[in-house]
Amino acid sequence: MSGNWFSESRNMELSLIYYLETEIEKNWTGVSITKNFTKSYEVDPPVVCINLLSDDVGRKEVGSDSLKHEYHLVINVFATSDGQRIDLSDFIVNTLKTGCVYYIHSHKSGSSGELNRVADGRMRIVDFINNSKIEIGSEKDLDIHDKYRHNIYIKAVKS
Amino acid sequence: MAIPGRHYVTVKGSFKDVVPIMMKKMNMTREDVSSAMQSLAADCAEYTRQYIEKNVKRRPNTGRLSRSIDFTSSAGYKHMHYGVGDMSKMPPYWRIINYGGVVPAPTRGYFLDSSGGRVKPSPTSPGNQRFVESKATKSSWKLEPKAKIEGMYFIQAAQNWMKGRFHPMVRAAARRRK
Repeated sequence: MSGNWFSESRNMELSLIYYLETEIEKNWTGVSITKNFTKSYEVDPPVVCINLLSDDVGRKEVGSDSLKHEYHLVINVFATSDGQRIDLSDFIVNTLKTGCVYYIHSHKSGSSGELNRVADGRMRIVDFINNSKIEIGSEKDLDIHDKYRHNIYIKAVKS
Repeated sequence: MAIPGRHYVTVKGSFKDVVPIMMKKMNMTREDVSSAMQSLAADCAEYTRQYIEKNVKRRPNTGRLSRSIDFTSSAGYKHMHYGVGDMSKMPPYWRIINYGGVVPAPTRGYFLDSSGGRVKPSPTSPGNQRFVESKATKSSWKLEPKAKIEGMYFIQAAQNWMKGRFHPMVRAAARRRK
């Protein structure tokens, strides 16, 4: 990270959000995208929450100063019905299978809210660790957001 | 491998087809396969317990969830079965800890401070005491959680751990036999 450029972890998260936001906007209507789990509950469903959970770091070779990063990203789908949950999660998985463009982000000068993006390779999804419905309890007791929830847990690398 | 099952929440491995292949192609005995799988399941359970304890957000915690993660194994003539995280032995709140969300219904109970004494909760300021569920109506309060709980994803972490170790483990066992 140098100057105003964001770190690789942050760029991974933002690149995935940007890609899914664009693809969902093109194909769906009324779906909100957030990157904060608790904020997802303040928006009416359907909501897709994307965030970086952890970064698995290891050395590329013994004694090497180069590091190998594997990013664990969580995508929570809060749908309005079971059908929508399945369709939306299927769409996301199919959209992710080819990976997406990795962007280096920075703040636009004079505006901290807007971001500059410069393409710098690709983000590859190496594994779909989880893709399943979340059943927290009986439907009648649950918050509207938790009734039709789906979790997609992926592992990604920058290439 | 690493199939999320209905009974075993973390990892369920059933090796009906894999065992004969490992035995024939890799010249491994049933005991080799069994011992390698058993040690992998035990390591996975230990990893899951440590992951939970490392990611606990509010301390002191009871450790009930991490203690409940164990592995079971059963081996027949051509079939071996290993499971980590038996749902029936885990506390009912494992889902909300793993995936996050809003606690379903208001619950009665009381708060404990670090020395084990009961604390009267303040409705205006958030405390950091641990909540203990209790059915007693005397000296207990009804808790209506408003804050959302962020998921720990310990099941997914364990699945990822297992995926990364299964094939190297088989390869290492096969090398030892040669």
